[in-house]
Amino acid sequence: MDILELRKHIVEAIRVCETRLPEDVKKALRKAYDEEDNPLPKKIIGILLENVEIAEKEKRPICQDTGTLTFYVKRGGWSEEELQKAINEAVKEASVEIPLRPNAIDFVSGINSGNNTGRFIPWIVWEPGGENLEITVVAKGGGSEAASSLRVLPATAGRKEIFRTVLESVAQAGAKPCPPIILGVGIGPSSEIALDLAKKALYLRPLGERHENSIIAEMESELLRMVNRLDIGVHGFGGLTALDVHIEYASIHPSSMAVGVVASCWVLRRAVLKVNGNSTVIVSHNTQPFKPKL
Amino acid sequence: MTEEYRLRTPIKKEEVAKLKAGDILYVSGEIFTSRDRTQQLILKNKGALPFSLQGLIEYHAGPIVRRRNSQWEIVSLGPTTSFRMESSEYDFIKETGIAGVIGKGGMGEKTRKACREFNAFYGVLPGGAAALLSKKVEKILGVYWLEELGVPEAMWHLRVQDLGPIIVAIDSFGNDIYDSLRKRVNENLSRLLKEV
Repeated sequence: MDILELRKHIVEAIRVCETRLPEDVKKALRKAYDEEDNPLPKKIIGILLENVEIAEKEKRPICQDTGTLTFYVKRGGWSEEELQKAINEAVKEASVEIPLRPNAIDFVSGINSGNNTGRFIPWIVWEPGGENLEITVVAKGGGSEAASSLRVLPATAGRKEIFRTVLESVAQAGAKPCPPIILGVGIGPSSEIALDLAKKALYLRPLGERHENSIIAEMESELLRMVNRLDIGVHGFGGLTALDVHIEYASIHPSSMAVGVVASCWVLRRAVLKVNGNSTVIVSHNTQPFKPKL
Repeated sequence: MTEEYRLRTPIKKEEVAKLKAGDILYVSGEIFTSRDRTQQLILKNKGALPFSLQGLIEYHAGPIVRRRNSQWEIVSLGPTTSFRMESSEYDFIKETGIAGVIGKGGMGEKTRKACREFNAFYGVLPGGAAALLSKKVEKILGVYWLEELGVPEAMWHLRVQDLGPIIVAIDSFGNDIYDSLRKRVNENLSRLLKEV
């Protein structure tokens, strides 16, 4: 496969990401609809589901905030330089083709590049491993950042402080991040590790799947129950607040434990492009559960 | 008991006075999009606009548009987080005479005060339902400050048909669904923190 062909496939992966809600997210939303008794939230979830169908059928972005694009890349045999170029060009092309909203603004000059590329944007994360090229694209809108937060706690802080961090950041955001939200929580020795793990836990693991460590898995289920008891509900109208909570952790430092919280709106967008020789597959969900190499 | 209304802009003040927090609206007629930087330019130049803002609806949104045969076309248009506009909304409602503001996520004390004093309302649309809501736009009537502000922040003057459901979040009596939400969530939060 040459670089031009790869670029076309990346444009298609961005299209899948922006126009098709991943199956696991759709399933969670349908379940929320079935279980909701209150007429107003039920009506709203119904509209969200209808919107998903229209977007899919007409290949229109699900949300007008097509977000900032992040790419998680396992290089296979490709060089960073050629992949970076292919991704950047694909983003420019997708911005016109799909089209995407121009969301990359240089804050010094105030200039919107018009094509979603700019200084360090799109954000590319090089992942280790992978014999074959695998590119996961995720799109994150601005509103959902209202529920993101970071706290660096003493290493002696335990479960209680982790729960407090998550509950407070969800509570203060209220209806702003477009609930029902999905939460990624990262625990690690430093701020950037915690936030990186939180974002990966949020986007790279399918909804409904629990962490392999049973204590973490139990914390996920308990946090999900508690977040839902905040009773923010769909767009703030009461009821279901979160569809899922994923936690990932790294070993912490003897003196500090950073807790990062990253939230997605109900429109959790991801697509995975897998390239094996000349055969390619694009899916809107990751078939491989996320396992960090720690 | 909540009511459902179909309103056409320009909306009269007595129609706004009927609305109660929790009611559902479908709006037809002229509206315009606006965000933080747009509001400043509108206030500075409102005399120069070729249409009156009186009785119209300000829509907190930043659309995706496409140019086809030299015509603009809306690809995707849904509400954006309204709270960014909270610091300027009082003056905006006061100076423009708009009937209401729509967006998502809720506003604060200043907007509540403006709704009470100037007989206006704040409503929310389902966030993230852009593909569906775009279909309610019949025509783009004009675009202002596109060069200075870029596509998402420019003022898009639109004609819509049955844009909704808009849930009235703040009515002209100052009732606010999101203020009740904040109180409820804070109580729940205190209770939960004692449990963990």
